[in-house]
Amino acid sequence: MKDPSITSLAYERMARRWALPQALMGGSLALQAAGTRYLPRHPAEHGRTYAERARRSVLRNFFRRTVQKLVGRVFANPLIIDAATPPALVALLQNMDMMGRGLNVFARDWFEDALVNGLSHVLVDFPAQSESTAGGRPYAVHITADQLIAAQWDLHGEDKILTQIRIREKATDYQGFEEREVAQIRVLERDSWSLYRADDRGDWHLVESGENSLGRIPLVTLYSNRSGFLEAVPPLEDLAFLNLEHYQIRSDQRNALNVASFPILAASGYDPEIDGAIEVGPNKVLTTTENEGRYYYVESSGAALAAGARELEALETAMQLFGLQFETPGGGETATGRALDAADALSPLSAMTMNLEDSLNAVLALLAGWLDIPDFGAIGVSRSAPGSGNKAADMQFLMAARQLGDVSKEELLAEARQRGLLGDSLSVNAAPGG
Amino acid sequence: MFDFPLDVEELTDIPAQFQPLYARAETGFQLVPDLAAKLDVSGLRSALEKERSAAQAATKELAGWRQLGPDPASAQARQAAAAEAEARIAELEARNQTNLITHKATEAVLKGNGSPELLLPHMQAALTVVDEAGQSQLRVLASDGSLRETAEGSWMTAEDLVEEFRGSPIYARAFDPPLRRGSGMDPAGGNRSGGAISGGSHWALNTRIEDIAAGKVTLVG
Repeated sequence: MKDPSITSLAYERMARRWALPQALMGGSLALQAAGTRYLPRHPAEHGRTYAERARRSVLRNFFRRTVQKLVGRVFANPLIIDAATPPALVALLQNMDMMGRGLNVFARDWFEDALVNGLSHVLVDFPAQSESTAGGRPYAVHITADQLIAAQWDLHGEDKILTQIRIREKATDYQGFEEREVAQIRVLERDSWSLYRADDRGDWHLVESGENSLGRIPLVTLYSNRSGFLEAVPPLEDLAFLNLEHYQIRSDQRNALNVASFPILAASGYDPEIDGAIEVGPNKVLTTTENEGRYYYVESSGAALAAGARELEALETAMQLFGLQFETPGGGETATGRALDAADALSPLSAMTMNLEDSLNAVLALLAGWLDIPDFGAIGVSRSAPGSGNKAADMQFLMAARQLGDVSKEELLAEARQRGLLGDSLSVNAAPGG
Repeated sequence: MFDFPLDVEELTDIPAQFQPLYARAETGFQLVPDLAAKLDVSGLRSALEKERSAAQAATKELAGWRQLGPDPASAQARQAAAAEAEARIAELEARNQTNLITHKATEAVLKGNGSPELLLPHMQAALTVVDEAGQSQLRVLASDGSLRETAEGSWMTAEDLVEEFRGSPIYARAFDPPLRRGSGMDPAGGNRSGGAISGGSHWALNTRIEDIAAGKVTLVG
């Protein structure tokens, strides 16, 4: 039986490394749901004790915070739409996915997925129904890293031309008021597409197929840490492991603190048959028949707790530095930084930004390709201008340069855009009326 | 051969067997008038001369005709036929060029999803056929009658002209919107076709009857 759900070797290699970053993005609930995979059970730890410990373990999510921070840095300013972009395409960018997401929001989600997994994809598709083709329009579908389960390609010179991709997706079947999620595999080839669904026995059946009139597979891949064609490594993998370690130590520390926080009443020379039941409380007297007998509280010295706290503190510093050094070029190298090899992560954010720009322009080209628009303009990602950091002073300098004729009007406007003083792409942030 | 002179002085000058044909005249003897009239060949000689002249003229004329052809009549006929054939060839060549232009223009318009009815007159007016090394080649004419070239320097083709028309705000309306079909993937990761509904649910059947008719929704159960 033909099984389109078979995953590629590259996918298998990558999927092993996506699990932790994706679980961290899911937060405490995702890690708790993963059970002993990310919170191992101690030897001889009672099942009920472990379950209680796991339930109380909370992730302090440095990973997600770093991801959001880096994404926020790239999208601090809106994307820039070239003035030469035809209005028809600008209209498409206002509602990229026909679900109301404008270019900036769509690109942000795309970039975040790429930052977590190392790569992410966009399929620039067109409606399949012929009767609605007249009013159809191309649109972008975000294909997350784990949705693209396989890809095949041909070599044309040095170019790799995709010949087949397989996308895992979910459909919803409605039966009256009830609904059921059904897994399906979409197979795209250069001139055709087909859709497979699994029956209750797990056998896959072709349920729909059609023509791909574009004549090529309209897939654009955004890499944040490319290791090969359609293959990448999560760029924040080291941070993910640090965060996992923090989660595990914090779980133990929380458990130890829980135990240590409650002094245990102990007794020596106590005979329950003679001394009777122990009652603790105001106006109660504890006695023993033994001369040497005594009651006392057993308490932790706190040494282990302090060690655990120090370890957690060190990890937190390391994670903060990792994120900081990742996003701030030229940051001072610390011992922790060297340990994390974070210096290697100084330039990637700007490289990722450039990749994002290239990929967005590839999406724009495909949107234009569906509509036979030869000149489609460009999309630019606003980068931090190499200025003084003082926007007013920078602009004063630029204005003076403009008056002296040292810079053109276009250059002046471009510099102003780079400093976020001109937001010319606000019109594509959301769908009309949305 | 005896020449029968008309007058003689003495009869002895005449052979004895012909002497009875002579009669005494005032001076000498004369051939009898009837015979004399019959032996008079001056008319015949002039007729012969005339015939000879006519023959020479005819021979001369014949040589002239022979220069034209073996047979003046058939040569004339052939000349007439040749002239007619040339006219016919010219007519056929013109028709062939027209057909070639029409054929190539129609082919290019159809290939470009244009309307032949609307675009052919404009295409035909802008196309011409030139002879290059014995081959008929289609070329595009500029408004000044010169042959148009592309930006790359090659001769402009009918397909190039169709593309130019497509880009024109006036002629673009004569083109069908291109048929585009993608896979129609749901941006939400679901099925755009709307999935399946229970055939036992009349409410579901009624509310989605149009989708069922369009094949967008399948019935189960």
